[in-house]
Amino acid sequence: MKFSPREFRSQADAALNDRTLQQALVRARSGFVNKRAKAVAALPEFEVLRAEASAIRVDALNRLPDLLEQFEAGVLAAGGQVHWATDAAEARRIVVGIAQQREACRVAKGKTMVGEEIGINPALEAAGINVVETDLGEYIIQLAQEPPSHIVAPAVHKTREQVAELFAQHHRRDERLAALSGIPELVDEARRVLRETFLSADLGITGGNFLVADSGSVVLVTNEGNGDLSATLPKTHIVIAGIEKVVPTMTEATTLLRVLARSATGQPLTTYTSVFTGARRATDETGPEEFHVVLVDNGRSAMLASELRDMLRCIRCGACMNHCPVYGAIGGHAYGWVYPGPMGQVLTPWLLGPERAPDLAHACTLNGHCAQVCPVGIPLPDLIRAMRVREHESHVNTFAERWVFQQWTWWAKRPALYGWALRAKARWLHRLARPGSALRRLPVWSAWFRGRDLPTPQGRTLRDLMREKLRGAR
Amino acid sequence: MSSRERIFATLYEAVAEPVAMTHTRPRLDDDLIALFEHNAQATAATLDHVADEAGLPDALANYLASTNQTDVGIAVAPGIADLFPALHSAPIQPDATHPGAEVSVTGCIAAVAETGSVLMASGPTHPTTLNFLPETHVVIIRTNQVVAHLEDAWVMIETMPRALNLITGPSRTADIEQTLQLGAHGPRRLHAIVVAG
Repeated sequence: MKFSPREFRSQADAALNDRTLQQALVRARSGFVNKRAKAVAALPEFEVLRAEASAIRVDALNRLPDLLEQFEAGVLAAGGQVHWATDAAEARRIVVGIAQQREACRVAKGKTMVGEEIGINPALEAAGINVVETDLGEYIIQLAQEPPSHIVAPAVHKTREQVAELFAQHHRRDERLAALSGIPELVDEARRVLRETFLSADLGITGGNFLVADSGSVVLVTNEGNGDLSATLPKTHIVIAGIEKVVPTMTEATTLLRVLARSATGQPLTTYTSVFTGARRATDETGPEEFHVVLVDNGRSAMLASELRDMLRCIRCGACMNHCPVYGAIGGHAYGWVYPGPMGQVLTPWLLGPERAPDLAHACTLNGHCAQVCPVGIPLPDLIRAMRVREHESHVNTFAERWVFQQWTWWAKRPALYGWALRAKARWLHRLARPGSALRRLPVWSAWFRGRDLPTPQGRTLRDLMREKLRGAR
Repeated sequence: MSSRERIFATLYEAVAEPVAMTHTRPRLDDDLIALFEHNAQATAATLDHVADEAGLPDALANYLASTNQTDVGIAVAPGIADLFPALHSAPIQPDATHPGAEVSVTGCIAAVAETGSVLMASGPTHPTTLNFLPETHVVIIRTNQVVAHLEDAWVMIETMPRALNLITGPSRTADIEQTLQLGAHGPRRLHAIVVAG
């Protein structure tokens, strides 16, 4: 199945009419939202920690080059290697190059969103290297040949029956598999198959949640343990990470850890929090002989210099999408690329160019829920609005949209006239429809009414009501 | 210009002032051992206590019997092998042909009350594979190793090993229908035996 951010409208339509997906979305939404709420309520210091986490990310971004230099020196001192990639193509070249140099045949891959961003799997496969996703959710969607629909739970849109069918189709061990339908049996089956992958892989690729500058360490969090097996068993471990992920010391990383899992899954901490520093030591019996960190820019340094800078605070918890009414209605695939939901509405048009994702910034009601739950205080609605301005300026929106905004601007600049026109319009609309019902069509506005209705105005405007209220108060 | 130089050139243009910061730790109950045990059990880890080291072999045998894990391969971390003189101490070889051990027994660097976690450091006395390959991971914790916060655990590390593993409960996944299932890729069971001292 192929998705594209350019096809947002048709993908959103399809998602709204997909009954299985709608069931999965309802379950996911309540699950994530309730778990986070419970975890936050159990930690009285959460809001203080959230403010500190925001400050940590802002500070790190403010002195990013210094911290990156420190981090690089730390990795080298611990016997690792650091590679710098300006864009996705260079990052792919670097990773495929290491794999070929080490004559790798099979890659055990932990979940990495930046790996998805740079499209590392197709590049490795084109080089004849077998890539196996080892996070259960990622493994399921790899079998289904679909992109992830959620950054924390990539297969959140799949039902157990669909997973059983995929396993039966791909594992083909015996008859028994076709009958697998219980979740415990499915998890066991994946454990058995993927254990063979871990043991036979000669290259492990993972992401990194935080890069610790003073020790040159990579912090990785998982619940399954797949990241650790990928980082421990193969002879070579490659970490792919965005350049924005660096923090000064483990102390700052600790504050971020305290808010990350609570915001993502409602856990105080994920099951495994691992800190990797360099390659296997001379006295170690286990661990990779080579440790590589590929630092990916791919538009991040330019974003840092733009009005969208705050987006780089993101620690990829997924809380914004879990609390977004639009994501909750259409799921992740409709957004058409790696990053769905509010964070994707900023990242996707930035990373791919606004012309390749012209509708994303508009799939937002500006309700602000995402910003309220963001553990690092990213003002997502402001950034989405800024992205709209950017799109207007780069002329990617249609002529009709531009014309409407130009008209609106003319009226909005003349408050008295605007108030008068609004009052006239409210009265007209009020007379047009029955009270309490909603308008379903208007001439010229057919496009706007596709998928929307307009509650009938009560006949008076907000300005009228406010004026009355103020008079009464006096 | 190299890619590194190009990236840094853009980054230096966007440099701004450092931000003044505070660092808050969550307030915790005073009884750290009780708190550790409470939080560890909340993550589905199991617990046992022994009065002294001499009681460890029996505690291990009882746990394995009570969970129907008899006649299983046991690997003991070299660092604590002398506590279990009757058991062999061999790291689990990451080799498909090796039968492997179903149970590993290791020590830890610290146990964190705040989260119910145990901290492991890789090295010759504690190969990382012991934390991930077996079906069951038994961790020996001395009561004086229990610390309050995560920060207190990090300071126990003098030089960074290749891998620090902070482990909070047994391996789990909720990737199918958001239903929690233990034993995704790592151990299905995490059992802590707390030794006084």
